[in-house]
Amino acid sequence: VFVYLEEKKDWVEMGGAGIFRKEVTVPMGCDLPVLAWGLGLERLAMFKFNLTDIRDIYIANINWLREVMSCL
Amino acid sequence: MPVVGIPVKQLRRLVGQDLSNEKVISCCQELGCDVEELTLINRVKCSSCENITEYTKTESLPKSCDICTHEFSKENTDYTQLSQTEVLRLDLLADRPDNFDAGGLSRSMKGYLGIETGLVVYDIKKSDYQVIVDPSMSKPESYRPYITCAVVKNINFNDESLKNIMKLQENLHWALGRDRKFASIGVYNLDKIKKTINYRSVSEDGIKFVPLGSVKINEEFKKTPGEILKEHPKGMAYAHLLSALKKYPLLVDEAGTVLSMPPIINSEDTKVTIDSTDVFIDVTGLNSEVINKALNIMLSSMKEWDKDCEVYSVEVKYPDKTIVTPHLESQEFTIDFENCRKLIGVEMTDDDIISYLGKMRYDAVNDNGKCKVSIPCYRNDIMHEHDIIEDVAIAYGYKNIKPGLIESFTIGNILPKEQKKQSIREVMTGLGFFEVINIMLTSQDRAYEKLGMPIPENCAEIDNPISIEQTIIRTELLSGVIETAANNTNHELPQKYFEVGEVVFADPGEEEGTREEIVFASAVAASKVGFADMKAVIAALLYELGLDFKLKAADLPVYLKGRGCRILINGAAVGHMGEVHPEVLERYHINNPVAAAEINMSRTGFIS
Repeated sequence: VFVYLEEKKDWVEMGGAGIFRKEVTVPMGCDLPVLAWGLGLERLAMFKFNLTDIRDIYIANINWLREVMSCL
Repeated sequence: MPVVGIPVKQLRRLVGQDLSNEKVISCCQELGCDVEELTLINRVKCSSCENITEYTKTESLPKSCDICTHEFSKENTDYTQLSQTEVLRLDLLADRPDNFDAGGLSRSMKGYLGIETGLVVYDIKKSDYQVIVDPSMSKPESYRPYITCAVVKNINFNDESLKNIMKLQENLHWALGRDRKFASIGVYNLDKIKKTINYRSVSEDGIKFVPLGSVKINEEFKKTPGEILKEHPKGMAYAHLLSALKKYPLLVDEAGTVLSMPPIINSEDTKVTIDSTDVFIDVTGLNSEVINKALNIMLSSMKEWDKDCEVYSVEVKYPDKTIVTPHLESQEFTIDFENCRKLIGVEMTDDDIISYLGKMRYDAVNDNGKCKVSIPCYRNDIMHEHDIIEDVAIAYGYKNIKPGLIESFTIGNILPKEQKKQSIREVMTGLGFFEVINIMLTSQDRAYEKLGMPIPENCAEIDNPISIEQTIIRTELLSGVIETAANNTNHELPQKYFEVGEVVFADPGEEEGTREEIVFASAVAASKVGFADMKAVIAALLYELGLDFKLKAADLPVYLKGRGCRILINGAAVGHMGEVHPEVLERYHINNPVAAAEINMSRTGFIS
């Protein structure tokens, strides 16, 4: 799944979505179609908070947490 | 995932249309390819072995040739700079190896664009070549039992087509062969080979030949298998595949000319050059289905690139049976028209479905209300009806599928235990604490030794840890919050942290062998902080959660003597708190006092 970002004038991949393969659902006892999607928020978070390094989201830095606005 | 650069000029030639760059990209994306970009790449030709090495605009000239390792120091002597080529760079998807090169990809594109639809039928003529498989190939000491072969004649090679075949070979090794283990492909100049070829085993010094990449065919460049495994770059890279064997696989003809030592390296004697017109192809490996699929893809893609080349079969004589290879026939499969409509959720007639299947290069007929589909020999991803229905949806066009609401709704909600965790988070945030979310994987050192706590018997260990920092699943949260304080010693105090999350215990009584419990932990790092400060926080938290508690003084290694206690709820010891021992703080390199607490919320009755 891709989303178009005006600021970057480009498509950014957000993740994948679809119908689960039967090999996965039938052993769990479900033979009906199962829809699933997993969208990554890191890239959007990076654009929203103007980050250049994705590790900033994962590294425990209390000052970043103190300084970033929670209501953007 | 490897990235391949497919020459756009070749795609246009093979599709037979002068497609714009945008059309090429959108067609491939709609087919499901992972398109990186359409761009120019640089190419250099090695003066030694004539191999072409490619590199992108952002990379610099490679130091040496990737086949013969000849150093590229001086232009025109060591290498020639060729013109840049426009390529479509694709992230290879392991389930569609038939789209790895211009030949196969153009076949898919022609179908999708309606230029050429339906099943492609590949003719095979009979050759008088045979391969004799020695019984030792299925014995443990030289185990690589399966081989499949073909002859291809009348090929018009040029730099580009030769490079195309080499890249396809390597990418099939990745996608199908698990890096050559299950399948490895060899292509040889047919002119150098006699009609009977032996697939047998040889000891590490049982023969000498010049491995591919040596620039001269000379006595001094001949090496034994043992020497190749130790000294040749490909030998060293793939020696592990033969480490369990005492004798090594060898492909050699009746005159003693070596074709190759599968899966390691070809011989320079039988090397394919631009002047070759006929080749012999073999695929050896540990699984007969995989090697045949690899051969099918090689042959069908070669036929797409060069329509005039001809495929010939070879007799492979095993000790107990003779098999004629290759088999390029389609496989029959039946799908249900109604299932197709239901799964995609779009109105389409039976005839529509048949025509969509044609666009995806299947043959399909309506056989008494059932859809009989012929699946091409080069498709490796068709496991059941859904895979074929997916192709129908792609041919219909994902972009043409209109979104719609489902007919009935159910209401989702967060689980009760998540609600309870949220309550804890609300109280602690209200008290001015920052929430941390730590990774559940940790190590004995990080979780227990640094805290001075004993390693519990029931912690779940990882069999094949990816790093020494992540070898067990955590059974406590205290080390995580203290580690967070340790990672922020260069920032202003006071720092107040908490975490609410899952821990895992090994439990043979459980179905999966483990059970999860929810734990809360907190740490306050400040220039002055004591037991009373932490007690105030815990008292406030437990009050808001409606839990009565008692404290009982205890001697716990993580806390200073006399400043630690256990927390009891309903008479059970569910947690502990206190002033962290200076020895512990030293191990974390924390230079100020820290007060901490941990409560197992699953054992308090608050979270069931």
